[in-house]
Amino acid sequence: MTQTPPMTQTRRFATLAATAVVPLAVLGVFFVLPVSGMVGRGFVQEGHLDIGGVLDVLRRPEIQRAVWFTVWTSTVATLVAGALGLPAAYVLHRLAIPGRTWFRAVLVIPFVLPTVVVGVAFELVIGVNGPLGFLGVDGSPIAIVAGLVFFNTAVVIRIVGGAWESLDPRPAEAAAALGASPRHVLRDVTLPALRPAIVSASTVVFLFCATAFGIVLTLGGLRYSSVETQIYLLTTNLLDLQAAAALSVLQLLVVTLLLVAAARARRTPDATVARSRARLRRPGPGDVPALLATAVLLVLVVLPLASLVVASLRVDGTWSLANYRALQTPGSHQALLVPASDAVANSMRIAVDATWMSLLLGLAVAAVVTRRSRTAPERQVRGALDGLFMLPLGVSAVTLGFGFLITLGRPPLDLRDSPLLIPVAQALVALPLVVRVLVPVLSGIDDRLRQAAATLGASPFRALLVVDLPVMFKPLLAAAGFAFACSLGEFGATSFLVRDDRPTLPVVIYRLIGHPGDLNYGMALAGSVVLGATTAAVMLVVERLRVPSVGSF
Amino acid sequence: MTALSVRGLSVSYDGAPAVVDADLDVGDGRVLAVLGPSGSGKSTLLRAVAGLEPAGGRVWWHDDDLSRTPTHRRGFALMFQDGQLFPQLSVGRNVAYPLRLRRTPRAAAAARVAELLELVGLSGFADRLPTTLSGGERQRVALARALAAAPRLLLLDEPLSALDAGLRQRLAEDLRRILVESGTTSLMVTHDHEEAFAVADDLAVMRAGRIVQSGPIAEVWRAPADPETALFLGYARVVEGDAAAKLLAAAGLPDAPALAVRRSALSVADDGVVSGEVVDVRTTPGQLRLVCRTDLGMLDAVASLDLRLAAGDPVRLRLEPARMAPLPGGSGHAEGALD
Repeated sequence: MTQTPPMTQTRRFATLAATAVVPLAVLGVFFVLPVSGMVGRGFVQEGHLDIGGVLDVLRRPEIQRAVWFTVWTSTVATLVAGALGLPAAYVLHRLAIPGRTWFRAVLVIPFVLPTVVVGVAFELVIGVNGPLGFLGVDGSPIAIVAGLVFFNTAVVIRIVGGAWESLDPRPAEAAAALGASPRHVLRDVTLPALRPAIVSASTVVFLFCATAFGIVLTLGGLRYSSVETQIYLLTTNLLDLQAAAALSVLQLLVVTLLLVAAARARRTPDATVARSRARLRRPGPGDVPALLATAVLLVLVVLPLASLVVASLRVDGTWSLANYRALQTPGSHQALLVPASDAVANSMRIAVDATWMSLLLGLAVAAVVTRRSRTAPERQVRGALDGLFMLPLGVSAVTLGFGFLITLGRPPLDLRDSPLLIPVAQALVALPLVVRVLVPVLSGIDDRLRQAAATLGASPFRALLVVDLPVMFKPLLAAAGFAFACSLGEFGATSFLVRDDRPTLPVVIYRLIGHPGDLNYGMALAGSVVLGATTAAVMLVVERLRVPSVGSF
Repeated sequence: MTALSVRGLSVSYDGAPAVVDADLDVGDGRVLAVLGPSGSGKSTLLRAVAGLEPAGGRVWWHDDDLSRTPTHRRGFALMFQDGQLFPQLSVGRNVAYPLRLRRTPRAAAAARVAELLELVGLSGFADRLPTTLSGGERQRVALARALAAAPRLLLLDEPLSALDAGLRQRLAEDLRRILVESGTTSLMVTHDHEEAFAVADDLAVMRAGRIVQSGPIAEVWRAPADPETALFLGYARVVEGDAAAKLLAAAGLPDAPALAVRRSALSVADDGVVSGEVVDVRTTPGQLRLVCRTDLGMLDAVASLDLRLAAGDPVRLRLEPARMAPLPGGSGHAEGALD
């Protein structure tokens, strides 16, 4: 009875292959091909493999500077994001605070905000005339670290908060009943239990920091360069593909290692940890430091956003909507080829396409990954697929975008003019996020429910309708919103693929900042508000759906 | 002398009362069992005494009002139903945890841990991890760890419920011995009257969030406050009205509105005063369990295994007054009442 007949096993693998073939093909054509094309360019010099030349690149001082800069800014940003995120995770997921869901939503907004919007907003706050201008950090690495922290604190809150929320309260109570003070309980029970979540969050945050592109470019300019911006510089300005490829490969290796580490932390099997949702506690006097830290974080998040909105409404010292009206023009000094409002419509269209693509792919991947494995090889295959589809999370968007250009822009696959090229690229960037929302929900459905439905006479399709769909409906909506928001703000890959007569809003904003003129700057502010408000509104709706796995990686 | 006194303790969840106006007293060195069915609020009561639930009312230890004292300063140790050992720490370090919190010197702590592990019968287990232990061993470690805190009051939340029947009985005896030897004042909650009888000195019966009866175990046992309590304490049936009066008269007891009867209160004997007919027979290892139709209505009885009775056989039943408890009033909804 326990021995699975070979026929059934073959059939199981056939089903697995059939479900996996579409996402695998998409990933192969639109991810592996471009990235390997880009990397291959660098490794193959004059028709033969030149590994020594690639290694030589890593000895160049400016490359080493970029690597060192990436490592230290990412490390500091990860530590600061953790220090700010942990108290907030506790306050927002463990304490009964009025308006808790709103605060959570506000704090998760930065994560989906387009990098150019954040760059503009930060300039306003820490610039010479900004409210924090006196700190004199404008244009310094501190500004870049602050930007990275701004983006990634949300990740810490989501991952650690989710784990904290479902933490069994009884071990902590047992320790308290043995005489452990709240400080001891935190040190001896709570933090050890949260360690997988904290490790996982730190890994993901480090990953995001190390591959950040838009924020480093807008806040650091060309003075400070990370690995990611260095790749951009080497490919577009210096046309040094060999060096760019070397850096890309280095990045890919590190990213893969980090992803494996994150997956390990996530999957730490601990059968003794019972999951139960604790009731929220009313805050007591001991919670004051955590409450204060959360309040500070809220101010730090709201300040740049509020400054942005205010600045967009000021023209020549008076309140005005002129900046918003100007969005119907192509700006001054030939900043744009088309009115900015066209870019808004364009962005929406692309985001809708990217959303359905990433949803379909994400569903297929989630279904493949979460089916219960019968044999060890089957489990390994499914595990490997899970990891594979996470790769776009960490691969340089620049590498991806440039790879698209050089591999898909010529026969046999000339997609350069296809309106679906940008949506495909954005869908791939959003895919890991969609998968991470859907997988915990799908794997949380007890297989025995489907079996029960089957024994009651339901066909597999009927069982899907009765068991899976009601549970999956809200997570699917949430994942769609998440993907939409991410796609709307995507800048790295899009900036390579976009055509000047059909730009997206983030690209338009970046271009407007780069051109002189008050009107252009005002338009950039107004465009940033429109973009930021749209993504924020989408995320608020997603947050109201209360899908716990949103934003857990 | 009273060590713990609880007065007017109330807990509610989102407006739904879980514990209502509970009063309890535990004497120095005594063990009080709170007995109640699941959902009666007994665990909530225990958690409130430990300071883990926000509660109304007062908790006193001798003359100290602890109502506003946080859990870790109450000096009450709580042992959970499933032990709640720290999975990352070895058995020895689990037991040493409260000692470490008190900054006990290393040598003294090691000696105390060895002593406690010996007390619970687990010498040599110090280096094992909790995951490698059986359920019974885990509970013993949890007990040792709770005792290591040298608590002035030990709180036990269904300490034996997660274990299988045979082990439960053995561990109950050990628990009783350990609590008595260490002179630890204890408050235990359980839904199992056997467990309560095996471990406790005093008993408080809880139902629907209220304490309905309390006192020394023998007293509660001899005189349950009402039919439901009687049934929960293990009486087989409550008879009321006419039948109760006749049974009481036959047993030579004073008249009462209702009567709780243990199964063994009636046994088959040739000189029995009640006559009837066997309706149902079940064989248990020690005796036959009968249901008989008598002129006093349906009654449970026992018989010796070698009588080989079958349904339809006529029997005479002898009464054992010590196994019956007159009740102050019939509630009318006791499930074992006359058909």
